[in-house]
Amino acid sequence: MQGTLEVLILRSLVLGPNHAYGIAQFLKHESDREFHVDNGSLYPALQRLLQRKWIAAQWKMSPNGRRARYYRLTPAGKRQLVVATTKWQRFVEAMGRILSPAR
Amino acid sequence: METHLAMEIEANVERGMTPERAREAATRAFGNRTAIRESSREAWAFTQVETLAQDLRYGIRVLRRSPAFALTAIAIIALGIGATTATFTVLDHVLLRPLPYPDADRLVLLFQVTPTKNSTRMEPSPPNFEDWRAMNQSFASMGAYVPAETQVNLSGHGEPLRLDGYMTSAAVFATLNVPAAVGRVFTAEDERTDAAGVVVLSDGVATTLFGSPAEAVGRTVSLDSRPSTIVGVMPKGFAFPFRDVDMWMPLRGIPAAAWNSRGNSIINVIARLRPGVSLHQAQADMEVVATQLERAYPKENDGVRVAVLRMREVLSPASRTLVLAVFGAAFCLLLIACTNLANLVFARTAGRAQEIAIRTAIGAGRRRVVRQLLTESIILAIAGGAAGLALALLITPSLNLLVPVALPVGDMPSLDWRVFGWAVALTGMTSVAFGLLPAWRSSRAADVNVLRVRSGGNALATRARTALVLVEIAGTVALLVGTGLLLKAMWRVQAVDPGFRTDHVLSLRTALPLSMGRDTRRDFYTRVLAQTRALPGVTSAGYISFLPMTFPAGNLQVTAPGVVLTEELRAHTRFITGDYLSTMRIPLLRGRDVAESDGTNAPAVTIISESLAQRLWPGQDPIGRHMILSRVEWTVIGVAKDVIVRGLERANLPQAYFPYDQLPAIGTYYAPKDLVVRTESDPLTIAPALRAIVKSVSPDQAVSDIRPLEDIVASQTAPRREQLRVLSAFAGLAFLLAAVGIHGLLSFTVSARTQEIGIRLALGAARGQVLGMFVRQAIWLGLAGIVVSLPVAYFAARSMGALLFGVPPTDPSIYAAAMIVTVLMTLAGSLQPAMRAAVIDPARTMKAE
Repeated sequence: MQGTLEVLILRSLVLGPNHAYGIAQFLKHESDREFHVDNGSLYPALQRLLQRKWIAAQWKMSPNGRRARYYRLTPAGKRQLVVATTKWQRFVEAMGRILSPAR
Repeated sequence: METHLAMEIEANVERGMTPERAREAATRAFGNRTAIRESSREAWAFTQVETLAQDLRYGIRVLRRSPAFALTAIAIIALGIGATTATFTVLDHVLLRPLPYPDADRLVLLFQVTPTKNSTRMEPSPPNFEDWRAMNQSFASMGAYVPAETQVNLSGHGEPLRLDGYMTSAAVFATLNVPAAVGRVFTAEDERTDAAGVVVLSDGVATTLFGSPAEAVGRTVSLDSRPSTIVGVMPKGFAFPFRDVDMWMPLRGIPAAAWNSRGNSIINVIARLRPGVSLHQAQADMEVVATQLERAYPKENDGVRVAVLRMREVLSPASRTLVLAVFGAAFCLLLIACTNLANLVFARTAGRAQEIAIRTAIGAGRRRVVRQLLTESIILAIAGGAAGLALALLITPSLNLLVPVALPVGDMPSLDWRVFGWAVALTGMTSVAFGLLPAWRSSRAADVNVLRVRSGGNALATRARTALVLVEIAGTVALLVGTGLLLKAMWRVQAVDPGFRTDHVLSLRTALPLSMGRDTRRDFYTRVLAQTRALPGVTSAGYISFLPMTFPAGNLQVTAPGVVLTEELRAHTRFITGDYLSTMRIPLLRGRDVAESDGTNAPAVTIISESLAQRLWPGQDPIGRHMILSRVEWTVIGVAKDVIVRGLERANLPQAYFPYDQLPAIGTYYAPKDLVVRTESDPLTIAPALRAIVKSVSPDQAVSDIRPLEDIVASQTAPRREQLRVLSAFAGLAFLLAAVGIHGLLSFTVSARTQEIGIRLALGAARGQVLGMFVRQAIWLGLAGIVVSLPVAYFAARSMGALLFGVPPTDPSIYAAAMIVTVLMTLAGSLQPAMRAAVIDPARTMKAE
């Protein structure tokens, strides 16, 4: 579904700013390896989020001493996450109702 | 990405791979970095385009679903843009474009004026011109020019052609500073009386006669029965002094007596200011020159001063005001169109408040929603702009008819893109501003209340819309008043009695060569008139120098022995044959008409007009008295009723008629040219017979300007009629738009108050009362609009003063009529919504809520 990856990225940033590698790891880890994010999708998704100003980017030093681009949620992004989460929940419920055994 | 990759490699190493394997695996897993970079960059562009395309598609779909709104909006935009662009194009052409000469702002025309005696501007006399040229210090060059009516006869071929030509001194071309496109212009040599005949043609005529300008140069044509060589052809688009002047001849051949008479106002003078000299300085300089001449020639130049006027400004003030008036009307229309549009868009967006709120609530993003609405407005603006452009292109040609022929600017004005841009910007801004305002407010928060209530009618919105409608009404009233005043002025002009009867009279012009001998001329007139009078159906016929209202000059000073005049008296001087006065039905109040016996050797006689008799010998019998004109003493043999000679709207001059055969040597220019024939039936039926007669008497003589006498008088009001046609169109459109505006506002109010009306009806209000309520509201609206408009209308009327012939700018009947029409319009606009209100079913409205 369109925008799923974006929502996931937003979610991954709730705990704090992170770089692209960190985001990818988080998603892989948290989804119990269900989602393996392709870099070809990740980076464009990050750009789209930047464009919408739902995330912001900053160059920082990583704990290992590397220069990395850290992304963080903006207030708009936070709101968007709420909206999107609600939408997802409704979607999931609706799907569930339809797909579940007959009443 | 570098860092990302490095971290990936590290992680691999931690998992136990060797550094090389770790790098290898990580790189492979990462993917094509270049491709990733590209697709990341694309993400930006794609999103933009994607949303824009979405907005456009959605916008078009939305507009298509409400065709009434879309078409109305487009029509209104087109109207406003089209009318304004077209008018401004013509205006720009008339008032702002430079004349087709280099540095045209430095060109001036010089006139003789006598400010202490009267305000008439007279053509200078040749001696004065020559002195001005010798004594001035402000002009780089100065030249003289005179109109010449002459004929061109192509050696051996075809019908003799009559072309409008001007005799210009060589200095005139030097002053204008426009070289010939092919060949050359005149030099001082060409002006010598013994020089060979030469002529310069316009591009149009050269092409018509010879196929191309290059072909024309060097050819010989017969001018005034004298061979003349075409030495040059002017460039395309050149015109001097007006459009439609096709040839120029050297200024020579004017009899010495005429040229040396200081009182003979016969030439036009053009000059170019010296570099660095301002108009003001030139005027002051000429003041000095004029005073010196006055001292040197106290009799002829008494009180004579020089008026130095920019060439462009010599355009009569009435014409400029005329074009400005039309522009004012177009601007009014644009304003009304914009207000109407604003109302329309405002109402529509307010009606979509619910939709906008929902879309914002489900996450569309305020910017996105507003941007989508903006796209709709832009689509409308583009469509309206295109339609407006088409409209402007369509009506510019008819508006161009308003351009006074007196201006030598090129033919068709090309569309003014600046104005088009301005008009588009204005309408665009209007629709955007008024469309976005409610949209912005509705999208501020997912206002639950907005979601529940139907098309919201909040007080601010209604007040705004009411204000807009008031502006529309005010604009309409102003337009109506302006149009009404001008209409009345035109009626007044048409009502002016010219002093002669125009029905059943045909006029035509035979301009005899200036060099023709007296005897040949007499023979011509005698034979033509005899044969004309013998034609069946002809009541009478006669000749005159120039018909009234066709040639305003030819006014010579008049004195009488023993009569003291407080100010200079000038008489409109014309030479006639017998029967002219009776053909024109100009009453002869006393005495007798001129006759064949009043010939060269007979006593010099004259018929004067009533006003001239009054001025010279008030209260006395003028018959037998003597009058001096052009240094000849004439005996008065008759008194004729006055006719209008210079134009229905211009100040008149007293007239003096003289027998054609007593034309003094200086006056060959005044030899009768215009023949008038009174017929029993349709005058045009004898035109072919007249042509035949002239041809039989003088085969080389050109016949021109064949038209019924009525046309001459009608053409006096032609520009006014054109103007009124345009203004009425504007007023009509404004009227329509304002009515639509009122209708819209009231419909909106009715819809918004449907619930309230339902309740009222349910509680026992009569339907008539409901109807009355809305009708009253409409009338109040109309009255308020009228009150607002009155100062505007008055101001507009005052500035049109020059055009209001015989009509005061405060004419109460016009204002009253405009007000009544406006009130009727508001009533008409309110009728349908009011009736809709009256038939509301209270039960249904309650249920709906």
